[in-house]
Amino acid sequence: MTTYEQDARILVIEDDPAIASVLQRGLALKGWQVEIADDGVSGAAAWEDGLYDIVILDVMLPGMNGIDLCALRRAEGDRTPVLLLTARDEDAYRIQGEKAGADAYLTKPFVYQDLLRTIERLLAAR
Amino acid sequence: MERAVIRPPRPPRAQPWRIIVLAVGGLLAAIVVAGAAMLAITLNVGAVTDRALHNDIVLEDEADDLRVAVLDVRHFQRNVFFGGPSRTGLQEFESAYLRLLERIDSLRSVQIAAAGVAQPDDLLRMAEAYYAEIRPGMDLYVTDRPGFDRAHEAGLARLVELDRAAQAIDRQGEAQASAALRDVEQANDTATLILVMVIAGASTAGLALAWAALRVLGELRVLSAQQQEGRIRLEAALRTKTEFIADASHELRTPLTVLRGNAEVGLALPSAGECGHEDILREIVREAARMSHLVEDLLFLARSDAGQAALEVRETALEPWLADVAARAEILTRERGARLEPELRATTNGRIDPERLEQAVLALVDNAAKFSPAGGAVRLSSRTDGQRLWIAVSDHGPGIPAADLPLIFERFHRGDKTRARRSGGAGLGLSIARTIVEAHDGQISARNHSGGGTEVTIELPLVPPAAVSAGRTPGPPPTSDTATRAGASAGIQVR
Repeated sequence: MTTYEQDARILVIEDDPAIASVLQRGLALKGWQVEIADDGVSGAAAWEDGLYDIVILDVMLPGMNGIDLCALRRAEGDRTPVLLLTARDEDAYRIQGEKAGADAYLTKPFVYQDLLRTIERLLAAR
Repeated sequence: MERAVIRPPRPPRAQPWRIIVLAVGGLLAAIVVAGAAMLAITLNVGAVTDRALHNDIVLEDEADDLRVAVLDVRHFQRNVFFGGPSRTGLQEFESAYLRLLERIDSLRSVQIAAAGVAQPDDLLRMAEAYYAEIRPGMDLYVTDRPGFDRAHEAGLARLVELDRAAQAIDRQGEAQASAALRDVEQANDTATLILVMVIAGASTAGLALAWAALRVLGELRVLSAQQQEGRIRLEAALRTKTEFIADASHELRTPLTVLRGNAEVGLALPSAGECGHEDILREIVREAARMSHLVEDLLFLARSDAGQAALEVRETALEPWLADVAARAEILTRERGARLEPELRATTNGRIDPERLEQAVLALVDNAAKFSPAGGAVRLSSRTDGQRLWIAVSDHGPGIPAADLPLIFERFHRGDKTRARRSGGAGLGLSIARTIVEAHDGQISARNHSGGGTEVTIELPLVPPAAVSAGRTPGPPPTSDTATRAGASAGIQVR
């Protein structure tokens, strides 16, 4: 693991406080800096302002849903790697996510090790 | 959430169609009766009219002719009386008398059915008696003028009698004619009455028919409205169910993510090994995984019931696919403390949904491993004949009681409840396997080996008919409520 990875800044846009908290706890264990936004609008603002190495984005968000938010950022030229999280594994979401420019996709309930592996892969591929 | 109240539809009343049958039958019967009555009436009225015409024309005419003949005879007798018995006068008288006899004879062809009326024979006797008296009397004109006069007077008296007899026949004719006309009138009255009754009957039947038709139309309207209402309710219920599935998916997965995630993060903490926390956390992870599995199974069945679980059928090389399935089955059996014995013989391609079919096979393998003794062999075998694919999973477990064999593919069915609970699983694996196999137009069956253990076999066409059509036209999106084209019984769409 590189030093840069250990310093990685991760934005988690997730409205469920329990999920947000477990993500924060789990990712902080790896030494990553985690910031939480709990709706689409504040998530968009944080994403625009901050310089993040990766964005973990829930699909079902109040304000603006994750797929629309991702598409919006991509349209503005933002290339930050995006990991979509959803509690729905319907293909429609996966396809919509890919179209919106998401780089990876995990279905809840995900396995912690899978989450770590996915984030490491996205960080390495930047 | 809208509460769907299912009201049983009101069954249609059976009465209207009975009334229709009765009314149509009645109408037909009325037509037959009316036809028969009209025919009988026509024949009867015709006969009565004929009889009346016969009596009126023939009898009256004959009587009139007879009276003319009597007057003729009287006329020529008087000519002889005033002009003397000349040769011409006598010839004319004789001719008139012969005509009278002819007229009397002619009366024989007419039936004079009445007492007190002279019959032709009586008239003949009267005529002959007249002639016997007058004709010799005429010869006395020169020799015995008083005798001639007496014969003349007596002859006139006999002619008056004949004329009266003829008048009586004439009256009889008139009487018979009027009686026949009365018969005609009566027959007409009867015919009118029968016709009125028939028309009344037919009208009643027609009214009943119209009423029944209105009733039937009313019932049909009610049924149509009920059907429409039912369809709307069903659509609403399906929408509600679809939304519920989506909501349940989200609501169940989120807490499971938190539960499992926290336990896994806990395990990753440096202090995890202290005070036995690691074992506790591992158990939480294991149970959360089991619960996730159950949630996925339930969602799969709910989606397939709602016609939302889609098969993605594609051309698949069976050999590498089976090798992959066997590799996963190997891990699964090892985790269960059993060992896999693969015996895979299928080298062709097939149009299948590889992920779903793998899910079905692994459900069978998992089930077999669960009931295998420690270290027991689970045999995974496959073969094709170019048209169909067979995949069989057999174990050396205790077998399935004969009574349970037909039930093992039912949802939540678990033969030995205690053992099943201990081994985990809610009894959905085989049911899901059946749902997937049936969506491939295949069959799944189970049998016990004679030497112990069970074999479950999947048999499916390599090119299911629905998959052929699915290959030609793109399928509906997963959210569409388009009717399923295949696996309709299983509720899975083929895409």
